[in-house]
Formats: sequence, C-alpha cells, structure tokens
Amino acid sequence: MRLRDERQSTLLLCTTVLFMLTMFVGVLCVFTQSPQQGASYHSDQARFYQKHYNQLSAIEYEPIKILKLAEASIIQALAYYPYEAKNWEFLALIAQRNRHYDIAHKARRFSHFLSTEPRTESVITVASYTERIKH
Amino acid sequence: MSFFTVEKIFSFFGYTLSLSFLLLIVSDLNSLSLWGVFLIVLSFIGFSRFLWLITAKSRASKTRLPDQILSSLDTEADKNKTNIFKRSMSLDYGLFALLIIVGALWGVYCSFYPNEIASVKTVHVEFSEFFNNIYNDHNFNIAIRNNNLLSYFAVLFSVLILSWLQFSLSVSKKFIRNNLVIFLPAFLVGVVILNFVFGRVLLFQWPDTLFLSGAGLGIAKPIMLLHPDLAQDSISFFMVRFFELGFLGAYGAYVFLLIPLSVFFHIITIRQRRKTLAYIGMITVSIIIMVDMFWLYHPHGLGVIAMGWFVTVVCWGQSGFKTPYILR
Repeated sequence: MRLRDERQSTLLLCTTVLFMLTMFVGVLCVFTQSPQQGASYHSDQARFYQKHYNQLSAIEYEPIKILKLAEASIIQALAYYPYEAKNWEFLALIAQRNRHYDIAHKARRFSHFLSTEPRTESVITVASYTERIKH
Repeated sequence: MSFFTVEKIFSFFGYTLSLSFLLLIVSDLNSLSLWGVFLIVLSFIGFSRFLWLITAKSRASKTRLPDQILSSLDTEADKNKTNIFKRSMSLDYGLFALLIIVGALWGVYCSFYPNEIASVKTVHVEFSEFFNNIYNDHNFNIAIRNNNLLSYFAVLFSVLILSWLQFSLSVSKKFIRNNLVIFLPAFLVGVVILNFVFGRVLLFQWPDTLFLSGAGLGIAKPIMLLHPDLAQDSISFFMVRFFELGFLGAYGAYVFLLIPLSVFFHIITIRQRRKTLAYIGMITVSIIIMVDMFWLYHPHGLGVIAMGWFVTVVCWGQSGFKTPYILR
C-alpha cells in the first residue's frame, strides 16, 4: 500500500498504534486474571466484609446483608480456585453464621480434605455434629 | 464486494459490538477475561474498517498508462470512502479521543496517589467516621488494584473505538434510523424504570474544589456495600465518580458531553439544516446529565447511560458529513 503524502502515513501509523494498544490491553485483561489472583481478590473482599461485620451495630448497617455478601464473594473465590483449604474453612464459618448448615458442613469436609496439616478427624466430625445439635 | 455490502457487514458488527458492550457493563464491570476478548475483537474490526476506508486514498503502482489514468479517476465508492474517512478523522472526534486518554491517565494518578478521603466531611457528616475507620485499618488497601485499573482502561478504550465505529457508520440513513429505533425508546424506558425501581437522590450536594483528586478506582463499591442506607439515599453516578476520581473526574466527565453539545448548538443556530437529529441529540445529552446527577447509582443505570451515549454519537456523527446521506 503506497500512500499519497507524509500526513496520511503518519495518520496510519497513529491509528495502527491506537488499535495495537487496544489489543494489548485486551490481551493483558485476558492473561492477567490468573485463578489464584482472582480467588485472592474475592477472598480479600470476603474477609473485609466479615471484619466490618463485627464492628457495625445491628440497627444502622444491616449486618446480615454484609454477611451474605461475604458468603457470596468467598464462593466466587472458590469458583476461581477451589484448592485452598483456608477459603473452604472460611466459607464454613460464614455459612454457619448465615445458618446455611448444609453448605457449612460440606465446606468443612472439603477444607479437611484439602488441608496439608496433620489431621484430627474426630474433631471435625464432632464439631459438625455439635453444630447440628445446637441449632 | 461492492461498497454497500461491506458497509452492511460493518454495520452488523457495529450493532453486535454495541449490544455486547451493554451486556458486559450490566453483568459485571470487573469480568476481565470477557473484557479482554471483547477488546481484541473490537480492535480487529476497527482496524479492518480503518484499512477499508484508507484504501481509497492509496493506489498501487501501475506500470501501464491506461491503468494510471483510470486509477487517477475517483469512482463513486472512492468518493464515499474519502467522505467517511474525513468525517471520522475530524477535529471533534480527535478532541474526544484526547480527552479519553487524559481521563485514563487521571484514573491512574488517582489510584496511585489516593486522596485522604477521610477529610470529605462536607459531602456527608456520616461519611467521616466511616472513612476514619477505613484509613486507620492498615490491612485495607484499595489503591492500585490490577482488576480495577484494567477494567477501567477496557471500558474507556471500548468507548473510544465503538464511538469511532458508530461515527464512521452514521453516514448511512438506515443505520441512524435503526439505532434510533432500537436505542432511543430503550433509553427512555430505562430512565423511567430506573426512576421507579431504584429512585432518585434525596440529598444532592456540590462537591468542593478542595478534593481535586479522588481516593482511587474501586473505592465506591465498598462504601456502598457497607453503607446501604447511604447508597439508598444520596449516592448518584456523579458522587461515585467524585469518590473515585475527585472533583476533576466528577466534573470533567461533562467535558466529553460538551463536544457533541457544541456541534448540536452549531447546527441549530448557524447551519440551520437537519435540525431534528440535533434536537434529539441535545435532549438525550440533557437526560444523560440529569440521570448522572440525580438518579441513584446502579450498574443497570450505567447500561442506560451507554444507550443514551450511542444515540448521541449517531446524531453527532451524521452532522459533519459534506454530502447528506449515502444509503437511503
């Protein structure tokens, strides 16, 4: 392609750079979202909600809503990267507070399954049974 | 392929891309991989359109004399292409592109050097305590999040390229009519639905110039989640922008709207032709400003504003063509 004058070729160059930049941003968007990072982002958010849940008073801030948000975001984190025992444990805690006992029970089992720490299975089974009896 | 066939293909791409842009905005602003795929597709289509338009300007070297003489004559398709190319590379769009890049840089600045929003007491008294809590808590660091910055870039770039596509496609009367038929009623109905479902702000305050830079991208979300009562009261799109990008970001967004507004004003007062579309564009821009200031923030509202922007761009783009319309 031969262009007529200098100005047109400059314009072509500028626009090419713009479109290449757009594609570069697109490629960045696709490849920077690794599952671990996405999971850590959502689990950080969940921890943030959970932390503020303890500080807020019941009347003003609708704490139940915040707990539900925490549960939603930790589930999102697990959808990205389900191999973190800590996150499953956290989900178990939050779900229990939200009174989703079935989710809590499953999450605790998963956390036990994925954890690398030395296992004490009796504690887990006893804990899950006591929760069921309590509520 | 003839000129009109290629134009039809490109206008089909324009529709699908604008609809997928709306879907992406409404579903999740932080869905990075989807935004990435969208941007890659957009850049390919935009660049192919640019090359298609510039081929009228370029000539392959011809050795035979009759070929040289023939190639020096402008055909009808070449004239159309040159017309569209000139319009889409005009000054007003250049200014708009420049502003978009400045906006992107401003967002980066605000996220790298977040303002101490603890002192934003003038906005709402209740905020101060909450911000003090946030900033005393050292574990909470909202600034420079990869997700926030990249999704912000993705939205701005796609607005830039989509506006260029719509600009160059608005030479055809059919494209303008279809756009108005699809997006204008949807926009108006969306504004009404937003009014009844989410409501308007109870308290509107003009932010001070004291807080020129904002507290970084992505801070509005935790504020609204932790203060649902405030989010139901007084956080509009304008306020969200004020938290994230400061005074300059909040008011600077209206400079984007100033360019098409000045074009419409020029058409209505001086050129005195094709005034209907200019009136439609002007009213749409004023409704967008109204929604931005007085409607409560919600992602669906962003989608509605985007629809209004498509209508505005189409009305703005058609105004500068030298010949009236190509396709009838």
